[in-house]
Amino acid sequence: MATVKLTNVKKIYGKNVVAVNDFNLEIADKEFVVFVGPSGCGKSTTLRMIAGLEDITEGTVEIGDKVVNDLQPKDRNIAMVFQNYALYPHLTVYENMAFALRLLRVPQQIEQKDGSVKTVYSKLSQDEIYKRVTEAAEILGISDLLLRRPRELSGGQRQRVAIGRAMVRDSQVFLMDEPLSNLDAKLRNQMRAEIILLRKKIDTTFIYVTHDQTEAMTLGDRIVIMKDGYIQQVGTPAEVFDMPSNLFVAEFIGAPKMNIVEAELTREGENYFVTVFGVKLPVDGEKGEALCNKQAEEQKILLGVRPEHMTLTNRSNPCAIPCTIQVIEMMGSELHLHVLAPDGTPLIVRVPTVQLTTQQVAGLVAGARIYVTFRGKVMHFFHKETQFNLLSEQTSQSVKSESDSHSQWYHN
Amino acid sequence: MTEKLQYEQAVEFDVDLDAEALSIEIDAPESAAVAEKIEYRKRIASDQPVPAKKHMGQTAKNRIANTVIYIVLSAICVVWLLPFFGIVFESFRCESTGLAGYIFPKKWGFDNYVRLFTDENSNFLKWFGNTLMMGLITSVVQTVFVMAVSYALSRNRFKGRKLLMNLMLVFGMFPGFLTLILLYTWMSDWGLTMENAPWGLIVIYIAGSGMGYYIAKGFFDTISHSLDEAARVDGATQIQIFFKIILPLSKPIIIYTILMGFMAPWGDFVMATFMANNTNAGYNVAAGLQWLLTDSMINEYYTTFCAGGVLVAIPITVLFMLLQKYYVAGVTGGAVKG
Repeated sequence: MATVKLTNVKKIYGKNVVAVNDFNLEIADKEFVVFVGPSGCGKSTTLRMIAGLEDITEGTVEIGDKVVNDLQPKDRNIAMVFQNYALYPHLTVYENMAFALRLLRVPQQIEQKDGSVKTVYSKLSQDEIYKRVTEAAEILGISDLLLRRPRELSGGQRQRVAIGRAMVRDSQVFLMDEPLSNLDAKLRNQMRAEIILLRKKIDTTFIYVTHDQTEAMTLGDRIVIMKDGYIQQVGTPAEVFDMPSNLFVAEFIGAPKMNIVEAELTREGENYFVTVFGVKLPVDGEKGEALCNKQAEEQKILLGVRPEHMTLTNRSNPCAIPCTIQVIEMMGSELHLHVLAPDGTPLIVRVPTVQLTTQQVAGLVAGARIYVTFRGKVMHFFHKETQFNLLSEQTSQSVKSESDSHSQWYHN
Repeated sequence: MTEKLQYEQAVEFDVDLDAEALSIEIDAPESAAVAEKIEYRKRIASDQPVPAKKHMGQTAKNRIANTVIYIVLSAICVVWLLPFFGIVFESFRCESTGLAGYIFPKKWGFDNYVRLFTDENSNFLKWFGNTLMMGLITSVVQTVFVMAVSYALSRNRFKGRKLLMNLMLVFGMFPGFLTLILLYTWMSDWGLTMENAPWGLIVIYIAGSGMGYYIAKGFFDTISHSLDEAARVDGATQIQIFFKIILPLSKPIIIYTILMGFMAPWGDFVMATFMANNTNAGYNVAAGLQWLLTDSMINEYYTTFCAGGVLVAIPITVLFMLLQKYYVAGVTGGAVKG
């Protein structure tokens, strides 16, 4: 139940290994923010700096308007759930959850005989601890596990205990460091849904770290996408999906990842066109208007189209791009077609099976030639050099952070 | 809140579910490739599973190999066990007290054990008591030291940590009895030699005990650091983490360390003999029993010496049997990352 504010936070390991750079973020009270990025992007380091487990090299971290840089984790009023649960193996579930409460000292104002007020730090009573632990256990559905030890629990149960241990403390901020990555796929989906429900019950500020874009999209009020220690984009799930600020975000969010092809942007009066693989496609709808409003110049661009926004068509369509199927992944509700464009660029096309007849599905085999097209409203335009989205508004911060990291990244 | 909102802002969509299927065209792949694929599938389908060949005479070969192996192992076993049984048998020999050219006693009895406690030359109870006291005190203090040093080296990062660890390893390899003369001079200055030798030895054992950090540190290293971090977030101080989280998880290594500390004085001969400097009351069991074997006494006390050896072996053996599972867990647990 507090805001969290990070200002120019920087983390340097040793002498010159920069893990986090220029991290600026304001997290509102009771907001659920997800840090997401590939491994080594600094997301966990940032979380650990907020928790106080890692020193902050530069900048300030504020929790509830109070700078906490020099405070110990216990004095920051935070709770944390660790990736490997970090349950105390020698203690029962009840003792695990009560551990923090037994160490807690609550300040109490006591009026003395002479009228002066003295602050006394007292332990929580056993009854109070029992009440808090059983309440949390009730919410998480682990009441019948309280006397077991962690090794007697399944992965999902351990995860719940870990969350319960963090819950009992009524902290201002709830930190979660890849809490689901040790679970198998099915359980992960289930726990993800439970975290969404849990969040309504706990009603506090959440910061959640993950490398899984699905978790980020489904859980977060806002997503912070990071790479090489820099924030790439901050936004709601819809924002980062619809308007990725740069090529990295575009490829990171969404699965299978966005197709990126080289293309040329041309303009005829008010109308824009992209020429890709020798096929000229009109940019219509919102994107066309946006380009117009921006007065975008004619240039070579990197064109991004999500696999689900491509569709199959017939030869006679003037916008048809002929492609050769390489691999077909049948997902049931949809087909993932891995195809080669005329110049050999690999593309992925997602086709809902409901759109196809059985005969058509049968005809889709490796080596077959199909015709692919897409509409203007789903295109994403990226600057060929800077890799910024031509339509997104760059904050000065992200431009600065981009300038020294993007070029090296693309050439990888 | 959700109920209230439910019908206020209805959004209508106009989606035609009966829309026709996509109009698409697919050019079938070139026929040669398809034909090849079909051919390949047929070939796989027609293949018969290859029957496994039987190797005749395999069991007979195994039997011969096993026989040879067991003969060799039995021979090694005899060589290994003979001294133990030899000592036990000789300790029960009653017909003579000196060295004999045979193992099995002609007359069995407890004479030697009785002599061990009653003979004026044998001060066995005193030696045993000395050693037991050294073992108890050393094991307790040494464990405290080793745990503290290991925890600090495992969890804290400070300047010179690596150097310190390496130095301790190198010093540990240095043969301890090379420092004998120097140590004796010091201990003698402090009055901790001769009949006070056990106390001097305790000081010596304990002083270097921190160097035995290696296995315990390896064990601590295997305890996930996120446990420490979780405890820190939960509000525990470093001392509390050590006592409430790390130590309860380290039972095997604690017991291993206690066992090691307890055993050292029983086997120490060189240092113990030197510190006691021919004072009977300052001997540990090893030095004392060895004294029974000096030239002038060996003929009279050899079997008594054997009885002493058996009695010394008993407490250690019992202790080991009781704590064996911890001992193994301690050694292997530490070895994972050691």
